[in-house]
Order: sequence, then C-alpha cells, then structure tokens
Amino acid sequence: MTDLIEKSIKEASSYFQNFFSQEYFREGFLQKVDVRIKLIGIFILLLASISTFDFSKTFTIFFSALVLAKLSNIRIKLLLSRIWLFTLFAFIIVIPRAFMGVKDFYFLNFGEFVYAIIFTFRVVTAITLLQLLILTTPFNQILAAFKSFKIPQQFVFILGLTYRYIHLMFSELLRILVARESRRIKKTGFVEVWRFGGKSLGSFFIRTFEKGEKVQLAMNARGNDIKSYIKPFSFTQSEMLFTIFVLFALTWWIMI
Amino acid sequence: MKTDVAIEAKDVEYIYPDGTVGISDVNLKILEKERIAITGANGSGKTTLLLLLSGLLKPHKGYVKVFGYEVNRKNTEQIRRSVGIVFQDPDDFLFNPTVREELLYTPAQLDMPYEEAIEVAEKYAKIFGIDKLLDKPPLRLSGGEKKKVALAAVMMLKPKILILDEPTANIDGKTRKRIVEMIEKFDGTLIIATHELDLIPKFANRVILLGMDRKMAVNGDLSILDDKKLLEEVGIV
Ligand SMILES: Nc1ncnc2c1ncn2[C@@H]1O[C@H](COP(=O)(O)OP(=O)(O)O)[C@@H](O)[C@H]1O
Ligand SMILES: [Mg+2]
Repeated sequence: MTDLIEKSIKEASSYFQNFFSQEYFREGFLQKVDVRIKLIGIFILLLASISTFDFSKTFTIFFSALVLAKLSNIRIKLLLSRIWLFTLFAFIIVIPRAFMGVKDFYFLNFGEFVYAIIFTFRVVTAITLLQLLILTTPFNQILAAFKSFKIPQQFVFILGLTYRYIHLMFSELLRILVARESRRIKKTGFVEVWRFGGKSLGSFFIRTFEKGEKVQLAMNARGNDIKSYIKPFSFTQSEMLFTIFVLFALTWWIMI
Repeated sequence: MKTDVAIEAKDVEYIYPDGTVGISDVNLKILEKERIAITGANGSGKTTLLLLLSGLLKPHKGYVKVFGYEVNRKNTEQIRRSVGIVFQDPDDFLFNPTVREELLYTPAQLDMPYEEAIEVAEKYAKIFGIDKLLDKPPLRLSGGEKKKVALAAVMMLKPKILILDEPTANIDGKTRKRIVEMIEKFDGTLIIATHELDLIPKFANRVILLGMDRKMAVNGDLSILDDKKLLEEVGIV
C-alpha cells in the first residue's frame, strides 16, 4: 500500500512534468499551421466539445481531434500517456453520482451513470485538443500569440512564469523521490513513509522556492520581458486547410 | 591609450537573508579587457561575488559600478546589456522548452531581428557542438551538454563583460577542451570563478583569492599559484 502511494506520486509528478512539454520537432500538419490560426481553431473545437451533452456531438469533435493527431504524426500512445490521469480524475469525481439517488438498475442510477461517462468523455476530448496544441507548438509561440491577441501583458507573463514553475516543481519532486529511492535499502513501513513524507514535503517546498529564486535570477540576467519571435502572420495552404477542417467539423457538430 | 574601468567595487558586503555572510570587504577595480580568475575553496564566496559584480545582487554595503553605472533599479537595463553571466548550475540557468528557444531567448529580449538571431544561434550551436540538440528540451540533456548550451546562449551575444561560474566543473575532457578554447578566444573583459588551478593560467592575467573568512586574501598576478602554503591555508589544495 505504502509503495503504491509512493509510486503514484512519482507517476503523477513525471506525468505533470511531461504534460506541458512539447514534441513539435515532428513534422506534420498542425506544426505548419500559423500559431494564431491554430489557437483560434482549437479554441473553437474546445468550446464545441464542452458545450453539449450530446454524445455524438462530442464524439464528432473527438474524432476530428484524432484525425488532426494522425495528420500531425502524433502517436496515439503518446497522446494516451498524456491524457489518462486527467481522465481518471474526472471519472473519479463524477462516478459517485451514479450510486446516489434513485436506483433503477440494482445499485446503479443509470441516467447518472451515462452522465458520468459523457462528462469524462468531454474531459478526454478537451484534454486531447489541448494536447494537440501543446504537442505541436513551442510554448513561447503560444505566449506570443496570446500577446498578439492583445490579452493583457500581466496575464501572459504569469502564464509564462507558471509554465516554468510547474516544470520546476515537478522535476524537483521527481528528483527527491528518485534520490530517496536510490538510497533506500530495505522496504519501509507505513510510519516511516509517513515521517519521510512530512520531511520531504518540507524540503520539497524549500527546494522549489530556492530553485524558483535562482530561475528568477537567471531571467533577470538573460532578459526579463516576454518577448519572443513569432513568425509573421501568413495565410497559406496549411492555414486554409485547417480552417476548412475546423469549419467542416463545426458544421457536422451543428447538424447531427 | 586610455583603458576604461569595466567594473568597480567599493567596500562591498553581501549578507544572505539567513544571516550568512556571502562576501565582505571587497575593493576591486577591473579594467576593460582584463582577464581575471576568482578562486577559493567551496563556500568562500565566489558565486556571491560574481553575482554582485554582474549587478544581479545589490550589495548591502558599498557599491558596484559597471562602466560607471552604479548597480540599482534605474541602471538595470544598461548593465544587463553589457554583462553576460553563466551560472554554475545550468539547471538554474536554462528554463526554455528547447535548446533553440534557449539560444533565441536573449536576442528576442534585445529586439534583435529574427534572421540575424537564428543565424548567430546556429553558428554558435555548431561551434559548441550542440547543433544536433536544437530541438531537444534542455532538461533532458547531459550535464556537459547543458553547460555548453548555457555558454553558447551567452557567448553568442558577445557581451563586453563575460562572467563564468565554474565553467569546467564536472565536465569530461573533450568538452572541457572545447570550453577552454572558447574562453581563450573571447576578447572582452573576462571574469571566471574556478577552483581548478590548472585552468587559471590558460586564460587569466590576474588572480583574486578568497579566503575562508569570505574576504579577498590576495589580489595579484599568477605567482600565487606557486605559493603552496597559502593555497593550503585557504583550503584549495
Ligand atoms: N541562498 C543562500 N542563502 C544562504 N546562504 C547562502 C546562500 N548562497 C550561498 N550562501 C552561503 O554564502 C557563502 C558563500 O557561498 P558561495 O558564494 O556560493 O561560495 P562558492 O561559490 O565559493 O562556493 C557560503 O557560506 C554559503 O553557504
Ligand atoms: Mg559557487
């Protein structure tokens, strides 16, 4: 049991550490689309996927996302590895409803059960779309695009900082856990894990804090504005195809 | 020819929030194009001194001036443009998602045109032998590779003053050679903290030795490298 807890923390931290990192060096369709167009398109699909409780409508968007993933050479396995935890969270949060209220199938409230499934599926779709963006776009470009949409500087700045700190936090957590494991000789009992948990939580916060300070110092040394290069806006074939794709998915979503 | 003072430190002291004295009693004039080694045992205050000289920390006592500009909020940008510093631990220094973005980070802050920036970045990536790594996240590189990325990111901008904190610590022989070559070629004002004594004659013409009391013990020429007794006293050998 205690091993399981530790293992899960480790899994979770490597999960979150990876969640925001991109692998956009793969060539593909979405990689070619101008970041501004891509952002708008994905945002529209995202809205469409979560503003309905009709399974087939959400499925339309999910299917479109899969097609986009395929066209952009994103492996399904990679996508799965990045959405499973959120999916699990979402499911765990809503599934209790299925066992409450009127039971119409032994112990199950069937209506609520279907709701839970659809809710989870909406989360899967939304996260998949988000991952399409993250996997195919350098994060700095996303920030630059936000800036060019005239989203307030402060917001973009905080987003950038958060991105860096999240990375930092989880890589730090992972490092502590791995370091501990490498120095552990025998299996530990629950009390010890508990005690260590408290201690390592403390050192985790101190380390993250100090690391954060140093990164702040590095940002001071290397320039602390949120300027980054963004390609001049162009509307070529890729942007055209992407726009048509989004419009097509949207039309389908409205009609069915 | 008149040589300008690049950095001047007067009665400088820095104390960390927990009360630890980082460094104290620093009086120092560094001329333009001078090449200085700062050495001393672990914890003698090398890193703290570098951060002060680069204008990133503000001293609690005394002052630091960079090209005549005193380190304060008003002069920050002026100072940042002339000083390039590479930290000891590249993990603290690299925070962009890929090596390419790492190299383009500061040029973007300086409003350098993209074409120019990418050209210089690619040139320096080649020189440092990291051109195959441009699309990788820095956090997945080896220690030596990270170090080279950090150095390339700063040296590609040809700062007037280059400050390096232990540039060759924990680095294999081949990488070390390449880094030393780059350091030798650099022709601006150079300040390097190191406790590797064999590195010092390769680039420096002046040595500042920090003692265990976190004060300057010696500020002079390379002859102190032969003073075994002194070096032992301050804990380097
Ligand atoms: N962030 C910090 N908080 C408190 N003390 C620090 C901090 N950084 C360094 N020190 C202390 O300041 C002294 C000088 O450290 P440093 O400049 O890192 O030395 P060096 O680089 O020569 O190893 C040491 O005693 C060290 O423990
Ligand atoms: Mg140091």
